[in-house]
Amino acid sequence: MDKRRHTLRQSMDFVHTWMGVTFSTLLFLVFFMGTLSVFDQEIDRWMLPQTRLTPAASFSVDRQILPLLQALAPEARQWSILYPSERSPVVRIAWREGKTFVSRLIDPDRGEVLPEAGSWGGTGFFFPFHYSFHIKWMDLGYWLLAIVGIGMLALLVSGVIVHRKIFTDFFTFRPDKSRHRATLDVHNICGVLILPFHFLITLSGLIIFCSIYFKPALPLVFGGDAPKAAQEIFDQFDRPPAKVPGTLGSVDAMVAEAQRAWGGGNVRVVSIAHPQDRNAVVQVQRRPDDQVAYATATVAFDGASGQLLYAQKAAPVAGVQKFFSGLHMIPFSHWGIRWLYFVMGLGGCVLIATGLLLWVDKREVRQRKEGRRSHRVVNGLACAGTLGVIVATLAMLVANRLLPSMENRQMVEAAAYFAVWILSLLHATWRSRAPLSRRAWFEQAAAIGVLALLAVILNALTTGDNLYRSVLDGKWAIAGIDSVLLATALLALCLARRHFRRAAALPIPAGVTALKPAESAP
Amino acid sequence: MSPYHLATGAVVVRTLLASVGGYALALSFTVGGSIVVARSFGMARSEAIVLAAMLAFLVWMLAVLIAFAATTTWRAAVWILGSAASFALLGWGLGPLQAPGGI
Repeated sequence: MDKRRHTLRQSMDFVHTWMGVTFSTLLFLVFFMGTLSVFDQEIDRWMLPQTRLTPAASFSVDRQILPLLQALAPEARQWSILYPSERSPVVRIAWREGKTFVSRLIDPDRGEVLPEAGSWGGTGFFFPFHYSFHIKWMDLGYWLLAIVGIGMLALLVSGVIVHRKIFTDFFTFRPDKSRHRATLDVHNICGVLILPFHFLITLSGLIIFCSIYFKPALPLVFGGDAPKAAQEIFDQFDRPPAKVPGTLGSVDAMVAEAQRAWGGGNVRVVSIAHPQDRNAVVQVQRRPDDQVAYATATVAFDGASGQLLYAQKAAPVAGVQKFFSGLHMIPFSHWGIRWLYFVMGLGGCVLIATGLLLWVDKREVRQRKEGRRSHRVVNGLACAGTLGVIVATLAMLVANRLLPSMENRQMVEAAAYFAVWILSLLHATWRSRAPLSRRAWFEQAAAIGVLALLAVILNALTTGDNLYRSVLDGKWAIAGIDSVLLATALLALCLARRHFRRAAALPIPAGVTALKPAESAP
Repeated sequence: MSPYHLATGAVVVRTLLASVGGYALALSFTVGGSIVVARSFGMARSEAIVLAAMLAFLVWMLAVLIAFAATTTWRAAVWILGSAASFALLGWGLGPLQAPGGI
C-alpha cells in the first residue's frame, strides 16, 4: 500500500481526472437527456403531430372520459386521468393490463381517442432515458444513476478544490492562445459560473429517488411496520375493495370539491382505484404549476358517495423533499425559468464534454509519444459519447417524421436512435486516426447540422407546420423546437465549415501544444 | 507525473470503499441518523427518515472524497467502514421507531 504523503489537492486532482474520465459519457447522457426533458412535453407535440391541438375550453371526466375508460378497461384495478395543461392540450388516460401500462391520448375538445401514438415522444423516451438509461432490469438504471450522481457531486467538489485561481479564471477566456487553454477556459467558466446549478440539479435529482436508494433502511427504522412505511412517509391513502359491485358518483363534482379544499388551483391527475367496486376511491392531485415544491396536495373521495375520505397533510421535511423535487422537475409554469434551465443544462453538457476533451487531448500527446494506438479508441468513445448522443437524438427525430405508420412504430424509432449511436461510435473510431484526431468530431458536427436541418424540413413537409405557419397559428412548442433545431444546425455547420477550411489550408492541423502538467489533469 | 500515485490494488480497494463502502455508510447514516433525530427531537419517524436520507447523499459524496484523500488505504477503510459501523450500531442499539400515536 502506498504510504507517501500527498496533499489534498493532489488527491482531489486524481479523483477529478479519473472519475471524470470514467463517468463523463454517462453523465453527458444524463445531462443531455435532462436538458431535452426540460421541454419534454413540447417535444411530444413535435413528435406526435396528432396532439398539436388548441387547448379545450372545458372538459368533463363524467361525460367524456369515464365512458371511454368503461369501454376500454372495464377490468382494470386503477384508472388514471392526466389532465390537460398549458403545455399539453391532450388528456392522457392510463391503466394497467397485467404488468404493462397502457395509455391513450384523448382530444378533450371532442372527447375522442386520438390515433395510436406510434412514438414514445419526449416524455416516453428522452425523459426516462435521463433517469433510468432505459435499463429496467433489477432497477439497475437507477443504481447506475446513483453512482454517476454521487460521482458528479464529488467531481464538483474536487474540481473546486483543484482549482487554484477560481476568481481570476472566472473572467478568463483565451480562445486564441491554444486549443488546450481555450478548452480549459470553457470548462472552468461552465463549471464555476453555474456551479450552484450543477450541484443542486444533481443533488435534487438524487433526492427525488431517495425512497428507492434508502429502501433497505426501512425495516431498521420502522421495525415491523416496514411494509406500510412508504404509505406513511408519502402520506398516501389506500382502501381495499369491498368486492361488491358499485357505481361511481360524479367525478367532476369531486374535482370541484378538491379545488375548493385547495382554495383554487388546477388538477394534475385524477386516479380511480378499483373503479367498479363499492369501495372505489377517487384521488385528485393538484397541479403544482404555481409553486416550486412538487406538492400535489392529494384529496381522496369515496367513489360512490363523493364523500371526502382523506386530505394529504403538509409535513415540513416532506415539504423540503418536495421542494427539491420541484427544483429539479420544474412543475411551475414560468417560461423564462424553463429556458434558463435549458441553457444551464446545456452548460452542464459543455462542462462535461470539455472536461473529457481535455483529458483526451493530453492522452493523445502522451500516447503518440509512446507510440500507442489506444488513443483511437479513447477518442472514438469520447466523440460518440458526446456528439454521438446528439447525432442519434436528431436521427430519431428524422426517423419520427419519415417512418410510415406501422406495428410497433415507436420501437423502430428507438431502434433508429441506438443504431445511429452505434454507427457514430464506429465512425468516430474509424476516423480518429492520428494526427487527424479531431476529424471525427467535426464530421459528426456536420452530421448534426444536416440532421437538424432535415428534421425541420421534414416537419414542415409532413405536417405542414413550417416555422412561419406555427408562429402564425401560435403553436409555440413547434416553433420553439424548430428554432432550436435551426440554431443547432447553424452552429454545427459553422464549426464544421471552419474546421474543413483549416484542414484544407494545412496538410496537418495544428497539434496540441505543449502542456504544463500542473494546470489540471495528471 | 503527479506525486499522487496509487498501486493498482490500492485503486481497486479505494474504489470499492468509495462505492460500496460509501453506500453502506449512507445507508447506516440514514438508519442511525433518523432514529437519533426522531428520539431526541420528537420528530415523526416518517419525517426523520426523509431528513436523514436527503443528507445521506452528501455523506456518500464525502465518503468518496475520503476514500481517495486518506493518506493510506487502511485509514480510508477505518474512516468509512468505522463510521458506517458506528451509525449502524447506534441505530440497532436504540431500536426501531414507533408509529406516531403508538408510544
